[in-house]
Amino acid sequence: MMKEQQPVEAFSSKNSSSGVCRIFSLVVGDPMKEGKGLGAKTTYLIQTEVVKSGFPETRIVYNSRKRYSDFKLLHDECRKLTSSDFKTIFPPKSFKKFNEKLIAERKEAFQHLLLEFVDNPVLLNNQNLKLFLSIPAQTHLVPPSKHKDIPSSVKFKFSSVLKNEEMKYTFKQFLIEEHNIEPFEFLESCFQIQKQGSILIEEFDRLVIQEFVEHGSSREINIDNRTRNLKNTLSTQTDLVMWNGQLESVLQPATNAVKLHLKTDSFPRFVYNWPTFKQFLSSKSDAFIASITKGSPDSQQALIFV
Amino acid sequence: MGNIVVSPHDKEGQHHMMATPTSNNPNGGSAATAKNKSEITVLLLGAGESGKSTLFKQVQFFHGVGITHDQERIELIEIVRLNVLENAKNLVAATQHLNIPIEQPENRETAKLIINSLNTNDLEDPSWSKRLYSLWKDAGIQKAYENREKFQLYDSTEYLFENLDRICSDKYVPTVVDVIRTRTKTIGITDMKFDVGDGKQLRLVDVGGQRNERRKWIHFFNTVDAVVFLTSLSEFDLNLYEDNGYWRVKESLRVFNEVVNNALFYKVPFVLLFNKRDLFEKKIATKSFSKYFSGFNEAEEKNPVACIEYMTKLFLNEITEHPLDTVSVKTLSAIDHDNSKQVFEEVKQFIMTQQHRE
Repeated sequence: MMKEQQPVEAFSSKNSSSGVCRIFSLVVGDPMKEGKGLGAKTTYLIQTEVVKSGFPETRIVYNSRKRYSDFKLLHDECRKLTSSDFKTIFPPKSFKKFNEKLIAERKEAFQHLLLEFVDNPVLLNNQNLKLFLSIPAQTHLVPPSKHKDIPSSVKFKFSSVLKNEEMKYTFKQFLIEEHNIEPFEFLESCFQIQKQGSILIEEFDRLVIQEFVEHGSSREINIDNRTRNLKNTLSTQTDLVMWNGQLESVLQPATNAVKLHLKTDSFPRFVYNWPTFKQFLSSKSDAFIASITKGSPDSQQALIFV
Repeated sequence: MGNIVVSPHDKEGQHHMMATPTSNNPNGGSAATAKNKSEITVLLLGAGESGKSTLFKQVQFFHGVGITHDQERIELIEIVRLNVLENAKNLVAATQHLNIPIEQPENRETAKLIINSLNTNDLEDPSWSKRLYSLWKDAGIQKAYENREKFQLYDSTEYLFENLDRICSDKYVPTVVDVIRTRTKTIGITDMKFDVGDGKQLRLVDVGGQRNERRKWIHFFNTVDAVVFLTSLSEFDLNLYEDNGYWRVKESLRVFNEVVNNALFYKVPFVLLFNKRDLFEKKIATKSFSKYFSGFNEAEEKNPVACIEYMTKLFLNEITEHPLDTVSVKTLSAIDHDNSKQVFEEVKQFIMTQQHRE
């Protein structure tokens, strides 16, 4: 019943007993007529794909076949446990048991119901539910991740948060939530100065060094000691004004460092873990998404939590 | 760097990082209400490079929060390779600063390319594995590496160079150990919730540790149910990333003092984790520990237990306000999965028991 896909270097090779699995997808399909005459019934195939924790992770697909009355029993039990109704209405009994339309509707409803069950923390690790899905009892399930909108082939470019105004705005909101807006404001200030083409040394000192770079400055950025010493480069200059060429050589070590930190630390969390970004994306056109990503988006796969 | 015993009330003036909470934080000591809360907030605190995010990643992994997104995985490849390049750059720069020439001419060529043009995509080419490894084994680079306390270098340098043959390949997929070993400086504050059974959720908060980052910690001080403070055992010969003239141990003690004695945490269970025990044991085998601590008996300096005991005293001496019976001290090697799991389990138990006593 169970097929394992490439068990490459499972995370906990030493302690395989800790079976922590996240549900990756759950699909009800392949209705099949079994038996004849009065005993005839329709069964539905339930395929639950789980991701076993580890890196790289192992994917396991569990298959199980159930009929209408099995679903009914599970549904009643789940309703008792949660003492509330589900959004999906349980399909009523019908005499036209083998009507194709009816079967398709039931299949759909069963799938939505099961998704609601696994989405409910009270039910997720219920033994009857696991038994129903043919998932071993000792497996500890964790909820599916909520990233439903992004096809897995999409790669978001960090540069998009610097270039695209809407992305920039969204990323800044994220940084404010993480209490980390300073590095971005530093980049914006540097960009502003570069756009002007020149700046009085005095102004530069006030707007950049005293604001972002010096120890204890009000919006101090997190850079190493050597990079921080961009002020030293500055003090060797005897001019009153700095021009574009100079500006770049003075600012680049710090802006590069800051970009790198944002790119490697904040940006992945922004893209993969921040719910608001998902909402933002779901309101966007494909063209917009293409403009902020590399490669072409996958055709949307149904009901996969990626 | 100091051959001194740090005095507990050593304030260097300008680096004051956290305002002591005043009356504008009326709901101080939130643990009193924590007993029946379904969510327990645990802060991971500590100075820079003490291992907060490493522990955070481990906790994520053993709670089944992994990496599903293929693209996230590809991004990790880049981050690992960026680490390789940063390490190589830092080592090459160090040979300049320390005036130790790279010996072999072909390695000098490699060094030049690393500084000027090499990027992460180049590392797909397996020939870089040989070139970088040869550079790593160059007598000049090795000598700089032996003197790594004189500049800033990641703990994972050796590990990455020893694994170049895997990393420099177009088939490279990072392993969990690679991900754990990769250094990414945390900036800002991030959190994640984990289901810990009994209908309870653990909310773990990870923060950046450098001075400027610590000003942000205060945002979470009101809502805390427990604090886990990390400090690196192996930092006794190192200076700060953000301030090269400042001894890391002194900084850690200062931060610990300000956190543990903070009025908001009086009633909160407090765990002190001495991290990087693995590195520490390797380090004291070759380096003098007593050189940095005048109060420590030189005859004992190769004995890790004695050294850790001394460090423990040093830290516990900082506690002036927090009730000692709600402080727990443990050692940790956060890069070790099993050890992290065990220690974190103990930490969880300690926090739960403390809350039941309330």
